[in-house]
Amino acid sequence: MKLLRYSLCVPALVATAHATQFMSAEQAQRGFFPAADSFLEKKLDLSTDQLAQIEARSRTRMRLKRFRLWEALAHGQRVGVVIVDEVYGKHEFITYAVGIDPAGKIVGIEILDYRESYGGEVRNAQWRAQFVGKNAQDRLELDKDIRNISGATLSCQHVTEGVRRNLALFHAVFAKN
Amino acid sequence: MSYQSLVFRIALVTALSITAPLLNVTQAQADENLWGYVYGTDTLPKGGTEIYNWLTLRTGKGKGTYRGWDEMLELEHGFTDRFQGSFYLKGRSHRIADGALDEDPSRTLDRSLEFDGVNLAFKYNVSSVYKDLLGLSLYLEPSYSRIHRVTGERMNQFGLETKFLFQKNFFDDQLALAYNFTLEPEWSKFKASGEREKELELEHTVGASYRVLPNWFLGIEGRYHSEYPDFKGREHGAYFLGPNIHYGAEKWWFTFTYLPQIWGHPHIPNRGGSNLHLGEHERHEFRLKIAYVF
Repeated sequence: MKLLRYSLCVPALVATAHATQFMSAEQAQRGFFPAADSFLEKKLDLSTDQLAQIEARSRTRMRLKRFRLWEALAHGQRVGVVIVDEVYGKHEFITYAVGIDPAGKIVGIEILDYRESYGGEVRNAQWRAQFVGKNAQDRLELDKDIRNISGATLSCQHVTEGVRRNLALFHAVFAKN
Repeated sequence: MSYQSLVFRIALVTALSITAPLLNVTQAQADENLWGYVYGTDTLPKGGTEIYNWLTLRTGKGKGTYRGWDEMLELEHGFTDRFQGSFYLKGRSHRIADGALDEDPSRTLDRSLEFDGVNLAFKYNVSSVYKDLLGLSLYLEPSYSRIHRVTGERMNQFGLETKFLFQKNFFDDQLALAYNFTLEPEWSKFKASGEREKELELEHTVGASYRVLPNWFLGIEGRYHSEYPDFKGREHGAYFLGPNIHYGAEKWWFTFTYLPQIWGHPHIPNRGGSNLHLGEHERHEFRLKIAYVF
């Protein structure tokens, strides 16, 4: 009872966390591939071999076996792929989208949902622009070929690892197609 | 709650609430405490500011009635992305009766919350737990206290707490492990007796915390605490081990830890808990931290 009484005496601390959606998946798709006339949704169930290949190439852990992506089509031809993924933030998930062209190079990344009070600098356009043109052969490592944002290290690290994982996924699923 | 306690608490909250916005806050960012006693290696980024309320209840001497409440209000600010400073205002209250203190069984005290002293703390992050092999931070906390932690006696005590903080995370930072090594020399002078004391406190603390759901972390933490009077032989030592829970949201977080003593030495005869040291420590400690992120 005393504990409760003490706790009630602290400043008004209760605030509700809320998700901030900066962009929808559809908006990201059209931003990455404006020439596309349709986006075909696919749900990929990765095989054990594919999972192992992606983990080895990306040097990350595969948390999920199922991925959601869209093929960008122009006059029936695939002009790119958009993958929507989540990585851990400090408290919740950071939802982001990656656009990859048919050659396996990144067209852009967009942060769709960010639910944290900190580390939001990963939305910075200059920081995200570092990824454009990278492919699965690139190292994509913080403080090496990707600049870290001091004070937002956790978000930078997890988004960088996520992008690396998505490039490896593209390579495993589409590279020979 | 007495009128005096209420005034003290309002003064603390008001002082820190006024000070925080003056610190040119440019960005809200949390140096969250996943544990109640163990420190992680994160520092606030430049411009980040938080206010914490720490509340610790220590109770159980194996005899009589003993309750010690320690309260701290902390204002923490990031001066660079690697260096932060904190200012603490401390309060303390005691309820001691029925022979609870082994060294002074006749002592009784029923004192509500009073101003205890101030601390400063500085933390420097050497390596990042998120991108380096191991997170490492250095921590220094000079302190002044005017109420004895165990007996409630009036005194003047100066301390200098030095910590080496290590942290390693696993599974995309879902699991965090931390270890702290702490040394704290203290110099005290008791007002009633005029007696002077100096001693060294040595502490090892370890913690593990796992994110079980978005926003929610469950953990465990352990603490070994020992004291060396006159900086010589060990007088006593005690081990504590217990669970904690942490919740973090966008603008606030809390951490609650229950840390019972599991073994201590020397044992004091004719008291419950034959494997515990209930002289300088208690059987149970509870700590609640609540923080507001500016």
